[in-house]
Amino acid sequence: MVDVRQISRRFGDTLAVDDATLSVRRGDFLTILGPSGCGKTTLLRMIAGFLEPSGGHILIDGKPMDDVPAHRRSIGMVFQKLALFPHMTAAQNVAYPLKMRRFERGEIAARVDRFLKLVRLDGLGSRRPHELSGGQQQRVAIARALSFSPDLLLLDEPLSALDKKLREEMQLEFRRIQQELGVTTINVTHDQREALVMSDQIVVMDAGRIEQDAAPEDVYQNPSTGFVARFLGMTSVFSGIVVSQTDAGPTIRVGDREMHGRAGCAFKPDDTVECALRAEQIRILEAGDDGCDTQVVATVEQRIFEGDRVVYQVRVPALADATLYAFDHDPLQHRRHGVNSTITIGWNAADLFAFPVEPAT
Amino acid sequence: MASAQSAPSLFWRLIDGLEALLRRLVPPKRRGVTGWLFLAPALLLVGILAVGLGYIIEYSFHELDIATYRLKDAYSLGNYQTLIERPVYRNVLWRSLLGAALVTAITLFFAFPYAYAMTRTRSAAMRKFLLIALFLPFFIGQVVRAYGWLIILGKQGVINAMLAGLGLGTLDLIYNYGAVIFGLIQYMLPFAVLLLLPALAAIPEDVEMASEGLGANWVSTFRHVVLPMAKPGLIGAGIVVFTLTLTDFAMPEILGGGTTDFVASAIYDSFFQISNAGLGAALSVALVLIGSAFVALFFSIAGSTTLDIGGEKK
Amino acid sequence: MAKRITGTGINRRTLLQGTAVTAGALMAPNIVIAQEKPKELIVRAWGGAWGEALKSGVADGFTAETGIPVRLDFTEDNEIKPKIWAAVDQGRVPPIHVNWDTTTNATISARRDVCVDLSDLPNLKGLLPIAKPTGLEGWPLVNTYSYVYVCAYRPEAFPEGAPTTWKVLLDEKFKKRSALYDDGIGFNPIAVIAGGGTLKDIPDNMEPGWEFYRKLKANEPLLGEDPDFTSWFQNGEIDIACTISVNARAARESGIEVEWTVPEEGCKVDTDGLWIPRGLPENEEYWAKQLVNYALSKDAQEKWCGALGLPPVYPGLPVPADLQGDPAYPTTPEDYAKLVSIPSPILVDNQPIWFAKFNEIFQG
Repeated sequence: MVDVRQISRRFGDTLAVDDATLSVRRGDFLTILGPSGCGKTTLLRMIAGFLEPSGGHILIDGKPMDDVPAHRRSIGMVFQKLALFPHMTAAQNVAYPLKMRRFERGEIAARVDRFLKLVRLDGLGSRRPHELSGGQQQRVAIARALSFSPDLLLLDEPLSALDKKLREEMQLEFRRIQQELGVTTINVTHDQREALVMSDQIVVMDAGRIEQDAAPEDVYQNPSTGFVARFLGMTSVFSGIVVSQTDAGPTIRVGDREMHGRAGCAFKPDDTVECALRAEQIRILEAGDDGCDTQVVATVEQRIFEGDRVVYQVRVPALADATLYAFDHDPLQHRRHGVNSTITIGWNAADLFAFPVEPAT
Repeated sequence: MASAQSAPSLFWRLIDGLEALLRRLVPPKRRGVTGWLFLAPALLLVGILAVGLGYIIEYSFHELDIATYRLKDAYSLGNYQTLIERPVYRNVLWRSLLGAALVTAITLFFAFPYAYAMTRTRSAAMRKFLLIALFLPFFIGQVVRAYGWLIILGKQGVINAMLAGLGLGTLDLIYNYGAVIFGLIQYMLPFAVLLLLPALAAIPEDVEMASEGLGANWVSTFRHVVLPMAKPGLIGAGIVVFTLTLTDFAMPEILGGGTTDFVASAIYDSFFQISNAGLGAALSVALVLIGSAFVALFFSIAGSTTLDIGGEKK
Repeated sequence: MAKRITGTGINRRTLLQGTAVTAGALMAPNIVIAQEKPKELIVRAWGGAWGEALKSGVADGFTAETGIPVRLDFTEDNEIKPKIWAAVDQGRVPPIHVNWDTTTNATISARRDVCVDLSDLPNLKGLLPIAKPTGLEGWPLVNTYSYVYVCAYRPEAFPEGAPTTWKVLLDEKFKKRSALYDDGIGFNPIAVIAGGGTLKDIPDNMEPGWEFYRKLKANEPLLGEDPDFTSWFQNGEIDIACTISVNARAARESGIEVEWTVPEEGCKVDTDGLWIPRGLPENEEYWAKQLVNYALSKDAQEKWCGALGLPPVYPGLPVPADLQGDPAYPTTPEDYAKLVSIPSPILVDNQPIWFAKFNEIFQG
C-alpha cells in the first residue's frame, strides 16, 4: 500500500535519511523505531508530503507522490505535540478535515459524532483543547486524523509526552482504534515497548539508515545488527574473537573462556565480534544447576529493585571483566544476593548473538 | 559522575546564597512591598499623566478672553460647542480617523507577511537581513524620514526626474493625502512587525502542517488557522498603529502641504497659532475620548480575552 | 543691589530671589546704577535670511560694543509665546531676553501684560511714527521695520510679465502651484479686495475674501511658513506665492529665478517689533533694554534692515541698491498708497476669527 523506494533527505551537509526502502501492507501497523535524531521523523514527514525527498520516490497505492502536495494526499497525521487548533473546539477540530475536503454538512455532523464516540469523547465536543486533559487531547488528535477516512495514518511520537501509565493505556487504545478501522498506520517512536506492543511490523533505524525491517518477534529474537540488539531489550555487550565457525554458529573466545554463539553471517577465525546477551536470557544458577551451555562466576556490583523484578549488574572476571545484566523475576524469593557477593550465571548458546564489529562512526 | 555533580551543586550553592541574602535584606513580611516598589516609577508616570489630563480637562471648560488673552474664569461648554458647530473640526477629525483606519489596515497587510517570513525562514542570514532592514529605519526619526520623502518624491525628486527622463511628465507625489498616508505606513511598518513577531512566533509550525495534512491548501490554512491564531498580535499591532496614526503630527504637517491637517495639527494651532488653550484642550479631550472609544470598540469586536492578559487559562 | 552681585557664576534663579527680596528698593532709575553684565543675552529670532540679518546687523555690533555675547534662539514664535506666558504667570525667569516678533503677536502678548515698558529707551526719539505700537499704552513693544507680503513668482511661469492681479491665483494653470501662509496671515485683507470687497469692509464684512478663498481652495494651494516658500521655489514646487519679500529675495540671492510685484489689489504691509518679557533679573532686563536700544540705532537699523531689504523705522536711511524703486520697499506716501495697512488692534481682535475661517475653508 505504501512503498518507500530508496529515499534520501539531505539537510545541508548531513544525510538525515539515507537510502531508505520500506513498504507497508494495507491495514498493517508499522513502527519506525530508533533513537532521537535517527531520521525517523524526517522519513515520516516525507511520506506526509511536508518535506521533499532529496532522492528516491514514495508510492501510495502504486501512485507516485512526487508532485502531490500534502493537502492532496489522503493521510491523517497525529503530531508529537498534537498540533490541535487551540481556537477551535474538539468537535471543530475533528470537523476541520471534513470541511476542507468538502464533505456534506450532514455527513460532517455524523462523522464528528461517530469519531468522538470512537475515541470516547462523546459529550466533550464543545470543549477547547486547553479545557481537556492530556489523554483527551490525544484522542481529539486521533479523531481529527481519522475522521475523513484517510488511506494512511501517520503517528509522529504522539505518546512520548505522556506519563508512563497513560502512555501504556493510549498504546492499547491506538491499537484498538487502528484495528477497528483497519487503517494502514505508520508510527514513529523511540520507545521499544511501544513498538513491540503495537506493531505488525517494525523498522529499526539508526543514523538515517534502516537497520532491520521485520515482525516484532523477529526483530527482538533475531536482531540483524548489534545496534538492533542493543536497542531492544536490556542487552549486555562484550567483545570477543572468533575461534572457529561451523554451520551451527561461531565459537568465540572472550577473556579466558570459549563459548558457542549464533550469528546471521559466517565469520572467519580471528574476526573480532560483538557479543550480545539479553538480560532475561541469563539465568542465575543455584548450586548444582548445570542446564546452561555456558556458565561463569560473577561478582554483584549493583542490585536494582524494580518492583516486579530485580536487575543485577555483575562483573565477570573470566570474561575480561565484562559487565553483564541479569534479571531475577521470582517475586516470592527475590534472592537477595548482596553487592560484592559471588554468584554463578549461565546462558545457552542460542541466546548469544555475535555481530561483526561496526565501524566506528 | 562526580564531576558532573559538582558543577550543578556549585550553581545551587550560589542560588542558595543569593536567596539567603535576599531574605536577610527583605524580611518575608515586607516582600509584598518590593513588588509595589518596582511598580512605583510606572505608577508615578501614569499619575503625572493623569494630573496633566486633569488640567487639560479643566482648561477645556474655559473660553478665551480676547481682551487679555487669558482663559475666562467662568466655566462654559463654549469650546465644545465650537467643536461641534465648526465643520472644519469634523472634517479634520474624519480625515484623521480615515487616515488611521487606512494606515492600520495597509500596515498590517504589509507587516504580516514580513513578520511571518521572519519567524519561518530557516536561513539565519535571511532572518538577520530582515531584522536589520526592519531596525534601520528606527534610527532615522520621523521628521528626517518625512523630509527624505520630500526629496525623493518632490517635483525635482528622483521619481519625477526618472518619469520626466522617460518623457512621461511629472506627478504630484507629495503635499496631498496620499503622501501623508504613504509616509505614515512607512513609519508604522516596523512597529507593526515588531508587535506581530511574538504572536506569529507563538504559532507552532506543526499546526500549519497539520492543517495542510488535513486537506487545507495554504489559503485555507491561512484563513482558518494562522489568521485566527495571530489575532492577539493583529489586535495589539492594530491598536498601536491606529492610535499612533490618529495622533500623529509630523507626517501630515510635512507631507501634507498644509491642507491635510490631522487632529494633532488642529490642537497645535489652537494652543500655539491662536493661543487659545481652552479650545486646544477641548480638542485634546475630544481626541482622547474618540481614540479610546475606538480602542474599546476594537476590543469588544475582538473579544475581551484576545490579548490573553490573564495568561494561559486552565 | 549691584554690589551684592559680584561673581559671574551666579545663576539667574539666585539673582531672581535676590531681586525679589529687595523689590521695593528697585525704584531708582536703572541707568544710574551700573548693572552687572549677564553672561549672554538670548534673542528669539526667525532662522534663515532673517537670523543672519539680525546677527550681522544687531547682535555682532552689540557684542563688540558691550562685550556681551548674543545668542539667537530659533524657537518658533508661536511656541515661545506660551512658554513666556507660563513663566510670567508662575513667577519664573522667562526663557529669552528679547523676543523678535510680529507686531500682531507682540500686541497679543502686550494685552496679556507680559511685556516690559520700553518708554525710557533714548533711541525711541526721532523714529518714524510707525515704530509706535497702536492701541496700547506706552511702549510695551517697539516696531523696527515694515515689510510687504508681496506677490512672488517665477518669471518662467509668467512669460507675459509680472502678474497684475492676485486673481491669477485662481487660474487653472497654477493648480497646486501656488502658496500662502498656513494661517492666511498677510493675505486675508487682500483676499477681501481681490474678492470684490473694499478696505472699508474689513473687518466687518469679510465675506468677499472668504468667497475668494473658497475658489482658491479648488486650485489646491500649498500652505506653509517662511522657510517653506524659499525651498518650494528652490525645488520647483510652486510658481507663485504670497510671501514676505525677504523670503523671495533670499531665494533670488541663492540663485533661484524669483521676481516679485505688487498687483493692482495691493499687498499687505505690516511691521515686526522687539519686546522684552517681564520677570527677568534686574541686570538682565537692563542689558536686554540696551540691546533693543542698540537695535534702534542708526548703525544697527541700516545694517539689519539693509540685510533684510526692508524699510527701517529709523528715518532717512539709504535704500539698498537692488531695491531702488522696488514696490516692496515703500518709502514715499505714494508707495504706501499702493499697499494695504490694517491697524494692529483690528488684526489682534480678528486673528482667531480669521484663522478659524481660513482653516475652515482650507482644511475643510
